[in-house]
Amino acid sequence: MGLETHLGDNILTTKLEWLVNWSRRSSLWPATFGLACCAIEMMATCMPRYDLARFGAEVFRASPRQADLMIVAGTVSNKMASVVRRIYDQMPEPKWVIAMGACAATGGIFNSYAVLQGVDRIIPVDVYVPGCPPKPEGLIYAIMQVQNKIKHEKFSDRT
Amino acid sequence: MSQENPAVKKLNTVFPGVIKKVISGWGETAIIVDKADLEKIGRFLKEDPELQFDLLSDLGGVDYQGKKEKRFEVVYQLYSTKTHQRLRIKVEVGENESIPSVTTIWRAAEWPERECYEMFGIEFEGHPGLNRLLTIEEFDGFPLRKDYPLLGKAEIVAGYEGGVRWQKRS
Repeated sequence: MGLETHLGDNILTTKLEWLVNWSRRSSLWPATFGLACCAIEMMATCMPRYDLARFGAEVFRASPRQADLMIVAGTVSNKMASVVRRIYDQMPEPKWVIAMGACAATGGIFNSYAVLQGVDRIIPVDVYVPGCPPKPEGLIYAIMQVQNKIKHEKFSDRT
Repeated sequence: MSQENPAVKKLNTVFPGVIKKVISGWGETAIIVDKADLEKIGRFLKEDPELQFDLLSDLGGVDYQGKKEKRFEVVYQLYSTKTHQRLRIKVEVGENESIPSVTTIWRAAEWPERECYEMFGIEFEGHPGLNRLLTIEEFDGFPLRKDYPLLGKAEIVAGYEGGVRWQKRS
């Protein structure tokens, strides 16, 4: 997938790995994707009071093809599930997913025929944020956890 | 009280015996009519110059499983933008029965009737396109019926090669 396939097991990759991971985690571009009330908190996270730009993740892209982080912010209804999955499929590798809020993580209070019981049933999730909705600090912490995860990624993990 | 409602009064004089029951309270009036008389009454209420119930503000269904002889009820909420009167019409419908569509009288009935069909399985005769409105196309069953399982009969899981698929619950 991308750069990793061309390198193989070279001694050089130890340092290059660090450089690539540093650049990836320092400029996470989330996809603009709000489904419910959690999206309001996601917007607040980008606003001056919480200022997500401090962590390099403020560039919300309207096109999934330019994004590498998907923040599933809100209730995923069964009708929306195929759209969520299609947006995820359209994002280029490498990509990460945050399930923001109780609904995206487990279905939340909507234990019903119409709501997907957790977004991890259709896409792999890296970080779950509890809360209904989570405070912007919660989302920032989740983004920091994703960055921490990227920091310790190995090229061999993705080849 | 109920006799004071001008719509009920007029319906009783024009179509005697058509109103099976009048329910009134809290300043609201509801009438129960037979489904065979629904189109006749609806058109009269809309076109009569004194009443002019020109707005169907909502249409919904009720499931009285095991509580009434006829299982379902369709409720029409009427409003007149000219006289500012409101009227509620209730029609009882049995299971596996159909009911005439009122889309020819109020075009606003189109989507509520589709919703009523997908949630309760009540067929509306003469509806221009009676398809599912809110649930996905593969959906099985009528979720607002009392005997429908809470979590549904199937669930969405990840597809084999991207996308999602619909899988029956075991």
